[in-house]
Amino acid sequence: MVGEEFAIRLAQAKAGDEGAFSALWRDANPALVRYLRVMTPEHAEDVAAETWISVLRGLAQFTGDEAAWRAWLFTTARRRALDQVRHRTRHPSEPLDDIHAAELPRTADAEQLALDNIATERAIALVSRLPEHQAEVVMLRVVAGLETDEVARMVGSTPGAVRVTAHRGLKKLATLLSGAGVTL
Amino acid sequence: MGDSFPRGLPGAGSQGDPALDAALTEEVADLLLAGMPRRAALSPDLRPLRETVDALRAGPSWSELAAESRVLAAFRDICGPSLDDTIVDGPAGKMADTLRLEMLREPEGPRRSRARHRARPGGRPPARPDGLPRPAMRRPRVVGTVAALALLAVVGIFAYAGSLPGPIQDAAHVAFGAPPVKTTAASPPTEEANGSARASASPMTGARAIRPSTATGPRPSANAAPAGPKQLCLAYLANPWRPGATSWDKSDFEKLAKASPGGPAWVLWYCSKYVNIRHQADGLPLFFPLGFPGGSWAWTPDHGLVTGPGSTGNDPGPGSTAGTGPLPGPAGGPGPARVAGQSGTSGHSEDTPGTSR
Repeated sequence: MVGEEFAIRLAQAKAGDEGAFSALWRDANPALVRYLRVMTPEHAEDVAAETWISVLRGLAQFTGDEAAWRAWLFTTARRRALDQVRHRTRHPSEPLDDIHAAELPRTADAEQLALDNIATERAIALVSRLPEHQAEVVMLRVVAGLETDEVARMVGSTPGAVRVTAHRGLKKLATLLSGAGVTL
Repeated sequence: MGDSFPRGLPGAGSQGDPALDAALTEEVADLLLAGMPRRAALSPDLRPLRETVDALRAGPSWSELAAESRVLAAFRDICGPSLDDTIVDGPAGKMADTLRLEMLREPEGPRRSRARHRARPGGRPPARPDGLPRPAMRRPRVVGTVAALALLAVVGIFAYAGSLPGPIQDAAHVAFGAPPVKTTAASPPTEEANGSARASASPMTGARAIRPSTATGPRPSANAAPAGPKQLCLAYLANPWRPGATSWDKSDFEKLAKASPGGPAWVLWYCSKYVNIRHQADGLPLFFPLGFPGGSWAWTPDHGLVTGPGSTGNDPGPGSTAGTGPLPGPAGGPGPARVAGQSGTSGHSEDTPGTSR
């Protein structure tokens, strides 16, 4: 989450400030990609790219706080992912292998991040084993940081049903973790 | 969920662990989903679950940030200011402060967002990393060019189909050779009409229609406003003289004859400047009255003018009112040929235009 600086960052990004938009993107894209990796594993990167293109085109018209921003972002991503699933089309994207090493972001604690990455990968793999509706709700609540009401609007359900679904998803995760003896 | 994500998930259902069920209440679940504080007490049975949920929220990996440069490129392309928004300052060409404008309220509906510079107290906009002006939008120009070409194509199609209004069709005819304004067809003459024509009060003497044109057009001078040279030529060419034909107007021809630098014998040459006579002739010899006795001319598109009976083939050029002899055809056309034609006998043959007999 960007937090208190979100409104300023958003205004600067709408004014054409690359740095401000970069901050918004760095904050939201990892969550977006993780969500899409659960929803459409084969086309997560492509859908993420399309999502950001759509967001950029509507950026000037967007108004709202950070919660609305994330809701808009993930709603857009969800629609793009559904389109991808329906039409089964391959969208062009630049493979990660083609990215030059100089373009990779440098971090202060690479080792810690590597460990975190492993844990994240395993967590994503576990969530992917859930029933699709439970997996989506869990990802939208945990990764996207959306409230129950907003998740209910996105998936076309009621807040109560979303809570129940999320609860069942966590129970399922706990069962998978205990039954398989998985440690992160 | 109406829109589903089809995935091959294993069909394992809940195992119904009582310990887990007891520990994972709805309140605990809400805390886990919202981000439970580290110091919050939690059942040891739920520790793996908590770590899994925390891992989902972990910091970004390098792969999740690898696309930043491409996204920023898209941002510059879609949301960056246009070249018009920048001002080059002085001879050094340094990019000056951009003009601060309040962002206008955009109308509803899909649009291509173009960010505007917003007034910012005491601040300058962050400069582009490379300091170069942004390219101006070219898409509207491309769209306009394509639209103009499409419109021209449509007009051209209608012009060649002869479906445009009269003045526009004439303009298209002059501009790029589209068919001229169509005229209604006329019935071919009969032998009796041909035979009686010589005795009729007509400007032609000793001439016969070889293969009359089937087209007759409206007489421009009859019950109509005075027509220009093109209209007169069109009417003239559409109504080649036939003995007894009433559609041809002598007075109109006289107008053309006066307008023509060479007089009646040069009316065809004169009209060739306004009308594509090849189209009018339809590839077959036609007779055109010249308004003077002893001469007749037939226009053969492929072979230029053909002298008829009574002509010497040595007609002078424009400026002369004596009219027998070859006249220059359209540019590039072959010279005239002599054709035998005689009053009272069959005139020009249709088999080989311009063939001497």
